[in-house]
Amino acid sequence: MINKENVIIKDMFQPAHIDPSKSEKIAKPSLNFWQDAWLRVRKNKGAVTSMIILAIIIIMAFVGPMLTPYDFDHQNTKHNNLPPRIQGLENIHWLPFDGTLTRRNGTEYNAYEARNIDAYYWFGTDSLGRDIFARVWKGTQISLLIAFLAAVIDMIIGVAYGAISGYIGGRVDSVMQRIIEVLVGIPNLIIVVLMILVLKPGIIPIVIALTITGWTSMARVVRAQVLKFKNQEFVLASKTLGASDTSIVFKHMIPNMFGVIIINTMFSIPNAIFFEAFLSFIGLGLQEPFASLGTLVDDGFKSMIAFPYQMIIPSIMIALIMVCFNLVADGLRDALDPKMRD
Amino acid sequence: MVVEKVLEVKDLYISFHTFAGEVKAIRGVSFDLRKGETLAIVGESGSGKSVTTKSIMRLLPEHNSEIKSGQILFEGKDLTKLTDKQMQKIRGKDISMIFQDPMTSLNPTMKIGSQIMEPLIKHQKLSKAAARERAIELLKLVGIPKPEIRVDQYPHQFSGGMRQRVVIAIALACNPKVLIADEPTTALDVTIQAQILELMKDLQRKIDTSIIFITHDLGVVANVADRVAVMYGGKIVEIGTADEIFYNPQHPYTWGLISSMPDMETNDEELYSIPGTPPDLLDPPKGDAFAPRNPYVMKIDLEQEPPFFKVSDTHYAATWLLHPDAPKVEPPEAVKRRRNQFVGVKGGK
Amino acid sequence: MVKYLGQRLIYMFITLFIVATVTFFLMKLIPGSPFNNFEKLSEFQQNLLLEKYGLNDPVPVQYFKYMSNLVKGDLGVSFQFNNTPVTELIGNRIGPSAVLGLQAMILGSLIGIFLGAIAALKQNSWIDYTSTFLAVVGKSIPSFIFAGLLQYYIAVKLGWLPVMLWRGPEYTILPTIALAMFPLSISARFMRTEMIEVLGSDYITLAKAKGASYWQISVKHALRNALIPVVTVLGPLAVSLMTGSLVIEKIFSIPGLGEQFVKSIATNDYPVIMGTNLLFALLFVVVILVVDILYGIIDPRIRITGGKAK
Repeated sequence: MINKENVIIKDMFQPAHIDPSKSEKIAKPSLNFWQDAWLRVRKNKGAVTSMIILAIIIIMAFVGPMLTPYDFDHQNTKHNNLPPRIQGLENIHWLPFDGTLTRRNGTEYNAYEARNIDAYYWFGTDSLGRDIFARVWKGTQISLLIAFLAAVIDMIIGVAYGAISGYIGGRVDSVMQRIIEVLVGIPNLIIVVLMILVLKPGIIPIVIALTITGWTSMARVVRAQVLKFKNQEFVLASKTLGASDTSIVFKHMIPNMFGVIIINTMFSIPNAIFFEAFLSFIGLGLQEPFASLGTLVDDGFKSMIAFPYQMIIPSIMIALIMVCFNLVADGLRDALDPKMRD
Repeated sequence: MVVEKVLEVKDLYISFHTFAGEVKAIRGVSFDLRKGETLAIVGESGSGKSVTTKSIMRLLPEHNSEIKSGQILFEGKDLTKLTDKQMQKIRGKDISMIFQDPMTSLNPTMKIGSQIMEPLIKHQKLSKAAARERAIELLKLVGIPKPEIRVDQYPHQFSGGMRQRVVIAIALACNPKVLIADEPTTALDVTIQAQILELMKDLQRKIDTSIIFITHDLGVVANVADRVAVMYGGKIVEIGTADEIFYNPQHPYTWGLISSMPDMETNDEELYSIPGTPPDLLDPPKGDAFAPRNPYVMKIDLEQEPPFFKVSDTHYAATWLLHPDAPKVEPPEAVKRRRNQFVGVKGGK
Repeated sequence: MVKYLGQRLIYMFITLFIVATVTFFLMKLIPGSPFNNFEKLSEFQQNLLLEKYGLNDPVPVQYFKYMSNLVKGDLGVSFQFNNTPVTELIGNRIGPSAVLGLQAMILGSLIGIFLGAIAALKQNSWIDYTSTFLAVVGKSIPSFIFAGLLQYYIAVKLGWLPVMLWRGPEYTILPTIALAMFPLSISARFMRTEMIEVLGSDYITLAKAKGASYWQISVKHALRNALIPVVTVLGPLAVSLMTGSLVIEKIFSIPGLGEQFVKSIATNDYPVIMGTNLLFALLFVVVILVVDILYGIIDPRIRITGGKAK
């Protein structure tokens, strides 16, 4: 049975010495939580692409309105309802930037030539002759502002409420949880609509309406995490060392929940964008001359058949932002959620 | 004496394809299973014992595992070459399996009876009514009281031990020729463990099946096994009858396993554990995989893989210590001392 | 189980009571009278109308009246539609909304569950990638954006289907698709995750070890177990359809509740707003309750022991 191919010398049966430290070596370099998370996010192509697109959109939301010579609220009724036309791209016929419109009978004509206008409105103009390019970026800016504000307020209230409820526990916790249960039992559609009716449409009222119900999911997640951490060794250890309750919560617990807090916030941003647009649609959005993406789409609907670009361009913008935020949020969840770690 | 071989595994190599690379989980495993016997496969987690048996059932995940080479012969057929359809006819009928955790291995939304009836209807073509009768019979056979009522209940209404009895009933439903038990008692309480082992031995006698018993618990092995194969790092390092493995172990890893068994009589002594960690099968070491943890390591262990040395007709061990040129090494004291205890266990059998 | 149901019903009534009260007082806080829109009316005539509808009574009196009427099932009369009772207005409008909502819910969740299950069974295949992509898009893009794009490209440009209104089955197709995208993508995602988890569980391995075929394993063992948790998302999905239907009905000019609600917001028609609000709240709590009960029925672990849901 002995394998004769290998030469066996007597000397080889001497005891060998093995360095014990070698057998205990750790194969992987250790990474901290954020490095590890970043490595994971980076592997997710959808999330990375979305981050880049979002970065561009956010920059454009501020820079965009300055790139065109037209103001977002400047009306020029002589130039109303002009289709998109971009220098250089206007000669490529299959692109929708050649300044043509379609008549009811299906024939096309160049609106700029027909009306003898020498101008370039990149995304066209609306019924009052306002530049849609400037309005779309201005609208993006306002939609994002509302969404970020709502998300941050949700986060602050939710984290505070959840941490207090979970950390104090007992009767306080059960009362606070009953309040959440009742709030969650009311459809947020109703609350949002009622709040806007009372407060009158505007950026701040919309943010308030969104945050009145929006914080509950964050509060629930944070409370669950606090309950989990409450009895873990590192918290008990700092307690025995005399750390105060606030420092335990802020220094030890909350940093450990950054992952879930960020994931939750990332999901509440697109949710806020959706509700803002929704409110615009049912007539409770921002008032003229201010524009959000929701009001732009709503306006666009009014002349959809004749001037479809007025509806399609802001629609695409909303869709793009929503898809990107969702992909980033999904990617972060996969990367940060410890349950998903292998 | 010619003993009929029911199952034969020949030079099996299995790899898993992971993100980190190819994990060579099984590296040349050969053994056979004889009619009516119980073969125990012993080893640490990661030694490849479960992978070996899952490959017999072809239950390894298809997308990342691969049988690189080797054969698994059952009744003259090479199981590695069968189609899924052909394999389905063997699973549950000729070869069946019991799993480690009875809490998760039953379908929570299906009645116990239907779960037992499934293989009966599939393989024995019984009618629903006949299958139900047989299911009740099987429940009675595995010692479940009031089987007529229990048959219509759901798994959550059963305790862990009772569920494992149900799993055994499912496995034995079609009187399989081979039963693979993958740590069937690990998740159970000690008293329940003994009951389940007793039940398995009893049923084996009744339906004359061969059992492959996977465990990391040598105490259980002493109780049930006719033969024992010790696995380490994806290979069998020692194989022999239960008596040979317990009374005359040859491989230093087997010594380590025996020494690390809890010992009733020497409480004052600290429980032995084999130092170090199992080898990384992504990049198996040159030479003997056990060498880094072997207190009797020799230079040759680091250079060449040891072949099987014959100890007796039924007993082989893969360690260079058996080479005529190797220095004579006595097994550790703990191993010798435990021999006497095994005499007690075996004697009571 | 009975005790649990009783507890749930009490919670439901508390919630509805709070919604009714909050709605009432918020309505009172709203500046402007419902008759401001009628510019032709003189101040005297406006006052007469306010008197007629009891709007000059002290607020607590109005509240008491409103609540006691509510118990009798009387939601008051509309200010704008010649004294038509709100219940009648809602009754006239509920048909199209129900048809649209049910169609979207059934279509969306069935296709979603199917796609999710297939994606899980054929993990990492093109069908998996397609349905995952579809799910992200469907989940992210608001239904009214879909509605607009469908309306323009399918109805206006291609002329395959009617652009708007509600005059027969073909009129329901586009709004149903637009509304169904959300439940479709959510249930597809959820189903895929659940199914993958179930397929990796021990009892599926045991089923394989029994010799069960691929079909038996996927349908008999995996599908049912994966479906149970999916039922829990159907409740919130049904609720989200209510939100969606408001705008969808407006876009397609469907004579449903949502369209009326949007109109009543524009005209400060308080009784209609309040009534519709209450109806939404009622539907909401009932749907959540029904889903919980349904969950108990299909999951034997809850059914027998009568324990708490979830």
